[in-house]
Amino acid sequence: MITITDATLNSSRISRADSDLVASFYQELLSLGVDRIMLTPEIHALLKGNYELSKAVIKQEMGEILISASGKLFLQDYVSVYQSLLLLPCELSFCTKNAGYAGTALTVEWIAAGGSSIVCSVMGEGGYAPLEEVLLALHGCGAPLKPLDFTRLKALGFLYEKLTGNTIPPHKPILGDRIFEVESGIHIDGILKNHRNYEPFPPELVGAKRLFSLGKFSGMNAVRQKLQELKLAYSDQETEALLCLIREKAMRDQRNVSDIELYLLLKEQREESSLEVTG
Amino acid sequence: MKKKCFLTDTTLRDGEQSPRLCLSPGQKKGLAVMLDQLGFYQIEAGIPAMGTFEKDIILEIIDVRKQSKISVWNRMDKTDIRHSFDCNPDVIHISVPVSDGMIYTMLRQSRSWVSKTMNSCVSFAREQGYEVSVGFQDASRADISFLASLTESLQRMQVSSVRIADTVGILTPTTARKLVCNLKEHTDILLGIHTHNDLGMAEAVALEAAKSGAELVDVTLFGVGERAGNCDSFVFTKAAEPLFDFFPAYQPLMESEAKMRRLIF
Repeated sequence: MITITDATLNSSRISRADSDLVASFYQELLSLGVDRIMLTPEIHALLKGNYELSKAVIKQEMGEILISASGKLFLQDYVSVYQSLLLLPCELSFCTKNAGYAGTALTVEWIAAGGSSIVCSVMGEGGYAPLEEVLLALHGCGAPLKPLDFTRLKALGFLYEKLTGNTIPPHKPILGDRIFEVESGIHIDGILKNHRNYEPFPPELVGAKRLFSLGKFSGMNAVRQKLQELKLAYSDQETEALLCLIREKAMRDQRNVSDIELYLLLKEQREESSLEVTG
Repeated sequence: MKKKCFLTDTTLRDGEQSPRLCLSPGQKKGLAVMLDQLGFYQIEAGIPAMGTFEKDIILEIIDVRKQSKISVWNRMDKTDIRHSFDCNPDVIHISVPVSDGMIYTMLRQSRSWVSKTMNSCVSFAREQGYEVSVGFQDASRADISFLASLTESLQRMQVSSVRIADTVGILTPTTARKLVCNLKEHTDILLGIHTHNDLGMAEAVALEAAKSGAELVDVTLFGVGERAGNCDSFVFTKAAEPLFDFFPAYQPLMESEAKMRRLIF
């Protein structure tokens, strides 16, 4: 089994945050099911009066050796480095320090090489590998994780924004608001047949929702699906003509076509061709 | 001496597929001019089968480019490829779904159908004298011996390169390394890697694939693309520079960053 330590609350800038928010964040980490929660001594003192801190740990009091890797390690034969470290007769935990693009990769690879304990943080706070990315990557590889409730990651992301004042970018892996938004007709068609075709994991796994949007890259099945969602009757001929209008409009306005705009396009088309629309 | 690595920019194809990103002909052309000036090996300019508007932009890009190869994207379908002929590009890229999931649930066909159709589509474009590259869509979940047998026929048909597409962004450095090394054992065809950032490893996986022998790497400006995006050209060039020689290098690319940002967003 893999031991996961979250170190988001080990960040010095969070120590100055509102105590209710910090407590909520701690609770959400418990709901997610991580093994240990690394705290600054200040946060430890803050929570101690109110909570049974059975999962809390202060960095200096960790029972094992903490290996901290920079991004440079990824340029080398890091697998050999890992293998020699893992031969040492002592307990090791692994984390990265400001490893940027390589943080998640180095952490996931530590487990692949046989490591069993890692330290991460939500959104990579404090320079660790982003917890949300590492967890989903390990889940995808079938690594021996204890049962974790990934749907709590959304709440952790929300609280992270409140605690730090940072905004999670819309395309941030796992936590971004728009990562399950699809426009490409090929992709929507594939997802409708089997979501696995164009999604790494179902959105529900991380408490998110899929959204089909219409635009320049739309196809027939995407339009059919949208019309069904909006409970609008249509014919194939009508759908095809509508698809042309959607693509023209998207290119003219340089953005996606909203549901209301779709309805207006359909109405316009009906008036022109006097086809029936019910809805 | 550092190893050579060739960059394909796919901002104008996979990048633009990102919802809410819709580039005007002027923006696409402007970006293509900059990418060409910077010296990208290849620019994936779009999908001709989308219609006349897309073909017109591709034709304009081909008209103004000075050094980059211009490639166009096709489904494994002769009608798509005929649309590409209208643009007379440098490279016709054909995307072949290769995982059993995609073959059985999306195409509703069999592996042997895929193999036959791929061969006939490639020959169709090769007979017209085009350089052809093939993308293995969802290669991360495909059977390696099936990929090896497809690659062997592609090499016989003198396809210029094979692109390993991690379509849903689930490769890790280890799985990417194994995939590249396995294919390299069966063929000496040029291998490309196309990654997605679903697990936050797009650049790391691309870099590990390059370390393991992939010669071509797909990138997009600012990492734009489906879902969590593609391999970010700025991040990748900065990270890979100590090990590889490529064009454009990180510094000149960064110098154009602000201008490109204004043009895209």
